[in-house]
Order: sequence, then C-alpha cells, then structure tokens
Amino acid sequence: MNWNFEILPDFIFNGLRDGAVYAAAALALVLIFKATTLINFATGELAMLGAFFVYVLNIEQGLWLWLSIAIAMLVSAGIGAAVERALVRPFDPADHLPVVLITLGLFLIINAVAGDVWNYQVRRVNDPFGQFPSWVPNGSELKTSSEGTIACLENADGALAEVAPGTAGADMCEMVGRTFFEVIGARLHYRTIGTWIALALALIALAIILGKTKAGLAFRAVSSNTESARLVGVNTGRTLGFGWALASVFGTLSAALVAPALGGVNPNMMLTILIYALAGAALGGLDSLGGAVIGGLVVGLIKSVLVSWFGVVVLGQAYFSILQLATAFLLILIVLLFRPAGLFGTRRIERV
Amino acid sequence: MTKRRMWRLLALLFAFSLVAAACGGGDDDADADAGETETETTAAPSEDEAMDEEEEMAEEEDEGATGALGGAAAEEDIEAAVAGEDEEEEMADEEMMEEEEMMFDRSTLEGIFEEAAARRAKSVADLTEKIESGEYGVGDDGILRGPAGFTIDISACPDDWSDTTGITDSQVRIGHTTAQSGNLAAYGNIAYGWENYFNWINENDPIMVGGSPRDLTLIIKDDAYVAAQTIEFVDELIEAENVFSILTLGSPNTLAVYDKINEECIPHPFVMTGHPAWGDPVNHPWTTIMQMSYSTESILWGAWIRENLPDLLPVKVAGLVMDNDFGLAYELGFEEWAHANTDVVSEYLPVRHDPAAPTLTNEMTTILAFEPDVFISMTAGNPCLLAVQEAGQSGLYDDINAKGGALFTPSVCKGIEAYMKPAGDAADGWWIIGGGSKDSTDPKFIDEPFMSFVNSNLEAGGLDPAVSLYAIGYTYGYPYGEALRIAADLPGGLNRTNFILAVRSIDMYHPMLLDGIITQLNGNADAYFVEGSDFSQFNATEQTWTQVGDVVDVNGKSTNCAWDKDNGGCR
Repeated sequence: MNWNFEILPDFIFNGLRDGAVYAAAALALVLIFKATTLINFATGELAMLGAFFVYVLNIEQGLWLWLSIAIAMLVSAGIGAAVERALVRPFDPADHLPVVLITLGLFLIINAVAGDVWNYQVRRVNDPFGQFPSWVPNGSELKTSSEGTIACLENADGALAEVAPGTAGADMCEMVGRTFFEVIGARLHYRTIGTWIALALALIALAIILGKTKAGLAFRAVSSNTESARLVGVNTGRTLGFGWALASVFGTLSAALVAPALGGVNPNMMLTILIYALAGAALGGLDSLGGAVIGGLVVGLIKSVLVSWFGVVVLGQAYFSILQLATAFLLILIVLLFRPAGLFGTRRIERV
Repeated sequence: MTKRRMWRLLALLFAFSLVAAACGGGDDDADADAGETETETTAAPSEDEAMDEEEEMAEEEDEGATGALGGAAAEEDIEAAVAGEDEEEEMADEEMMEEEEMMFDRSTLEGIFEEAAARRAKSVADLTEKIESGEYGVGDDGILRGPAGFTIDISACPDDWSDTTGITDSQVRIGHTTAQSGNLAAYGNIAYGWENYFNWINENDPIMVGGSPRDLTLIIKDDAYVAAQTIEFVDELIEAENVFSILTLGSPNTLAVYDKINEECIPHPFVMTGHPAWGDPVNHPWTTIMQMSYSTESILWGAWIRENLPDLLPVKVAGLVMDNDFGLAYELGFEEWAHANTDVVSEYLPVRHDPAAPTLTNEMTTILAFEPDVFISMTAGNPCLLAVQEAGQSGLYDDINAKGGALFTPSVCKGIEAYMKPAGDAADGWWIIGGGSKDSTDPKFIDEPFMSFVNSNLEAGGLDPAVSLYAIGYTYGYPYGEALRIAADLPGGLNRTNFILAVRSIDMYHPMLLDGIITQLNGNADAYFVEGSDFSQFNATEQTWTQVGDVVDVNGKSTNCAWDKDNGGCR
C-alpha cells in the first residue's frame, strides 16, 4: 500500500473536470427523460454534431470561438427540436420501444454520416480555456528558446511561429500564457476551472429558463404530468420539442468543453462519455436535474480517485486503470438494483 | 423483502465476478509470474529446491540468450548496430546501396519505376530458373517449396481449394478487413489509400493475367477493430466473396483469423500490424508482416536509452499501454528487455488504458506519480495524440525534460498532422523509433517524387493529403503490388502459390521508407520485411521529424516467432 496523498489533489481535479463534462451530458439525458421518460441514446451523437459545428464555424470559417459555440448551441437546439417533431412525436408516448429504437438508429446514422463528412481523423479545435487571459496575475509566461526567440502558437491552424521578443509579432504571443496554477502541489488547469464556470453558468441559465419563463413553466408542468398539462391547455408537443432543444444545447456544451481534452473533434468522441454520463444520470436520478450534476461529478471522482488513485497508485495494481469504464457500468447496476430512482430522483409509488 | 434483497446482492456479486473475470484474464500470466517470483524469494528454500531453482533460472537465461523475445533480432545485433559497431557490414551495405543508386535515379519517379521493374525482372528470372529446375514450386508430392527451406503442404489445403480462386476474367479479388467505425476508425483510412493506389495500377499499369489486364478489386469489410467481427468477415470473404488473398488490420483481429486463413491456404501478406507473430513462416507460411515488428521496436527503445542516457542509468521507465494484443506486444517486448538489462532499467511500470478511454488524464497522472526518467507511449490511434497532450498538461513532459530523460511515441504514431501537430508545444522533443517510414505530411518528404506522386493521386481521388493514413495505404500497397506483378510473370502466371513465392523472396526498394532500410523477405530465413529504423526527434517549430544519427538495420537477423496465444510470447 502506497498512500501517496501528494498526488491525490491531481486526481481530484481530474475527476471534477471530467465530472463536469459528464454532468453536462447527463443534464442532456435527464432533460429528455423528464420530458418523455425515455433515454435518448443519440444524445452523445447529437452533442458530437454540435462540436463539429463549433469546429466548422471557428476553425474553418474563422469565427470567434465563443460566438461559434453559441451559434452551434442554437443550431443544435433547432436540430433537437426537429428530431423530436419528425421522429419522436408521431409515436405513442406511452410506448417507449419504438422511440428508443429510433434514438439508437439516430445514434448509428449520425455517427456514420459524420464519419463520412469529416473523416475519423481527429481535428484540432481551439481550447476555450487554453491559457488564462493576460489580466490573470503572472499570466503571460512566454516561452523562450535557446536563441532568445519566442515560440508562439498561432491561433488559426496551430502552426508555430518564432518571433524575437519585443518585436511587432511578439504581441501575438500574448496567447501563450499560463495554463495552470499550482494548488496544494497539483496542477489546477484553466481548462478545469473554465469547465466548472461554464457548467455553473449553464446551470444558472437553465434555472432561469425553467423557473422564470413561460416555456419553462410549461416544461415543468409537462414533465410532472403530461395529461394534466394538456388538459389545462399546455401545448405538450411544442413543450417536448423545447425539452429536446434544451437537451441538445447542453449536449453541445459538454462536447465543446471536452473536445480540446480529447485532442479535437472526431465522430467517436462521445461514445464512451455517454456511458459515464448515463452512470451519472442514473446515480443522481434520471428525472433530477440537480441529481444529474452531482451524479456526473461523483462518477468523475469515482473514476479518478477510487479507480485510478486508490486502485493503481495506492494498491499498486496497474491494470486497475482499465477498470474505469467497468466501474461506470457497475455503478449503474448498483443504483438500479438498490435505488432505482437514483439518489435524488422521484420515487414512483403506485397504490392499488 | 429480505429474500429480494438477497437476490440483489447475489446479482451484484455475479456482476463483480464477471468484471473481475473480464479484467483479470489478460493479466493472468503477468500476475502469476510476479506471484511466483515473490514466493520464491521470500520463502527460505531447502537445498534441493534451491538447486531446482538455479536450474530453472539457468534455463530461463538460456532462453533469453537464444532469443525468447522472438520477432526481433538478437539484442547484441541491434545494440551493436545502434552503437555503430558492425562497421564492416555497414560498409558493405552502403557499397551495395551506392551501387544500386548509381544504376537508377531515385530522384525521379521514372527512375524509381525503372528500378522497380529491374528488380522485379531479376526476381522473376531467379524464381523462374528455380521453378523450372524443380527446386521451387509445387512438386509431385504436393509440397510447395520456396527459398531458405520454405515449404507449404498444399495437399493439406481444403478439398475445394484452388490456386486461382479470386481471379476472374476481369478482376483479381482481394478481401480486406479493417476498422472504419469505432474507436480506431481513423485506421480505416489506410484502406482508401490502398484502394487509391490499386485504382492507379488498374488505370495506368494493370496486372496482366494470361495476356489480359485484370483489375485489382478490393472488397473492404468494416470490423470496427472488433476481433469477433473480423472472424465473421473473413469467413464471408472466403465463403461468399471467393477472394484471391486477404489483408487484415490490427493485432487482435489478425491473431483471431490467421490460423484459419493459413488452414484455408489463402495468401495473407503484408498485414497492417507489427505484432511479432507474423514472422512465423513454418506454422503460418501464408501470413507475412510489412512494418517493423513491435519487438524490434521495444529492443530499440532499450538500446537507445543505454546509448543516450548514460548519466541517468539505471532509469525508471513508465509505459502507457493500450490494453489489447497490440499494446501488450509492446509491453511484453519491453518488459523482457528490461528484465534482462537491469543495469539500464531499474524499474518499469506499464500503465494500461482501455482502448475506448476518451481521455487519459488519470493514466498520465498515475505515471506522473511514478516519477519516471523515460516515458514510452505504447498505444495507437487517437490515444497517440492524447498521450503527448496529457504529458504536457500533467507536467510529466516538464519533469522528464528537467531530469534530462526522454519521452517516446511509438512508430505507429508517426503521423504529424494527426498525432503531433495538434499537441502544439508539448510535442517538441519527443523521440520515436520510426520504423523507417516517411510521413506524408512531413515537409521534408513532401516534395520527393514518389511522395508527390502519392499525394497527387490521393487528391485526384478526392482524398485529403493532410490525412497521412491515406498515404500509409501506399506504404502497404506498394510491396503488395510489386509481389503481384512478380507472381504474374512467373511460369503459370498469377496464382496463390506464385504470389506467396514472390512475397517470400521479395527484395525491393520501397520509396515510402527511408534510404538504408532494407526491405527483403527470404523464406524461413528472413520472415521480417522491415528490420530497421530511424531514431527521430520531433521539431515542433518546423513540424518535422528530425532524424538523429544513421538508420539502423539488422536485416535478416530477427528470429522467427511462433506466437503462444495462451501465454503470450514466442514459443
């Protein structure tokens, strides 16, 4: 046993970073589950599509990254709503099997089409949280090579350019800044902090949309009881479409946040992430938005701290590192066996 | 209620045991071995036992000396080559190469094609002479004989086997299983490049059978890198598609089908994997390797460390291993070397990763905690890039460089556009035992005549030259095409036996490999096509691999490898 606590904070940060991504993807699953009480297996692929929109807008068309992400989220929302209208609404909402099969089919179709259009080679994307902005204290940490020149990352295609310090091109090097802070001996990356902030902002936005808007109220009504909502005049179809649109927005956000950590976008980027997200959603409760967030973070932590830190570092069993995915499955199983509604989900009580 | 709860617990236990079984399987040998050693060293043995142990150990050492690590050249040969000790041979090689280069102009496409034609003509003449004298070819006893003791008992082939299956009036049908979906789908691009080259052959310089041109037709099946799928598709290619030959991609996939393909007597040359098992001409005569074997690469890592990090010896080495037959071939190869060279490697920690893992953050943090002097990535596909990227992010890159150590990426991760460029600064200074291959996106090679021929063909075929895996299709397709041409000119024309004879005696210049890499096969004596490599370091400013020192080649010195599927390693 090697209780290496020095390295533990690293694993905690890893876990919370990955966990935030799983949380965003789990939110996408939960939003659709709340609306239709089914699991959308195409969630990951719709998210991947959103990430490719970001790639096209930002890298290929040269738009500002955050604008690209915003547009991609809107486009994804449209696609989500369209999928609901065209492929889900025609079916009886009480009969889940056809719709689940449709989401499975969508999963395969979107993956194959994306592979055909963009190829499976990973395409580099810009990292929204690559380097801290220059106003962060001690932020600009320029790299100096042996010749006294600075190697800078060019923004557009990632090619490296060398410029002498103090010359005109050097302002381009503002991009090359600090990427992390040392916190209790571990590297806390801007990418990690940024992912948390993005998730938090998105959650606040979601809370406002669901709590303060008419559409949000209708969504809550439909997810609470579709029949009653319809009877009081809520347009349930349109509201479900709204739910799908919201879900696609969160999916795209999660994919855009995780893409730089995956080396870029590729059609298979969300395959495994969806499984972790599913575990997070199951743990938190499939109909609980707060549960999805906590569930996602816990799954990230379990994967990092329990499996990688405890299993590999403490117990010294190197092969534990391949158990991360298996642990997610195990977690789903445990939850379904002992607490089918999840930690924060609604328990369904049926009285005879 | 309690009964129900008990059932749930039982279900959970069952699930746990399933997971344990699934995950423990691959590690049985390693764990068992480690366990045995531990008990042996901790328990105080009686004298008899001690004697037995000594004998056992002596036996083990013997095995080591004769090359237990099959599929690679003997360590002494490689290390001598790395240290530049076999100067005589090198001189001879250089002279030979100079002679060849003087005769043909490799700086033009015409010159390269002229050289290829001349070498083919020589092979055809040599083989024809031996076939006509009865030394080679299928004898009355039903045995196919070839160079250096190479034999195949054709009478043991299936009853419905034919030498010309797959050759129709207009086509030569070649079956290919590859990954065009799933986590390693990027490797499926190789098939498109391969097809692009064969299309060029069909249109510009077709293979002639009986005086008429035949189109090389590829039947590509997407196995998603799942070995179970490969098995099904290979059956389909044999039974329904009636293919002439088969090409497979991936170590786990090829391991799953090479017995069957050999039993069916179907040519299976130049497979797209560097597992040492493909150098087994005695038991698997129809299967051959193309690229440098992973075992050779493992030894070259060790040899490089010994030569270049004298101040740090013995070093702590960490490996990031893709958890499948491919990664384990690397892991095992280096482990054996490390055990035999404790003066070079003091500790070796292989950290395995799930091939489907989206990120490798935790794995790299684990490696960071181990504080290695040398890091070796033993993975493929997108994880190639993740390893480079995460080494930078986690601080491993800085730590190792501060110590004066080294980071290695494996030969299968040489593609610059795909695996190095996206990592930016963190890719600078990484080492590779490159296997002599030229990356088609490396600015150094882009203007070479053959490379521009490849890239312009790809472009004409609607394939983006920035995807270097398309060009890798030419690296594999070129020797395939050459062997087909030789076979077509032998007595009897193109058929399976002539094809495998041509493959097993091939001696060619490969324009997609660095000069100095010898590309030969010679029956049972030389079962490895590429046995040399460059040592290169990545330059992120220029986005190029800078070759450091000479190309090392130990052609013909790798020992054959009858792979032991149950226990791993060569028998």
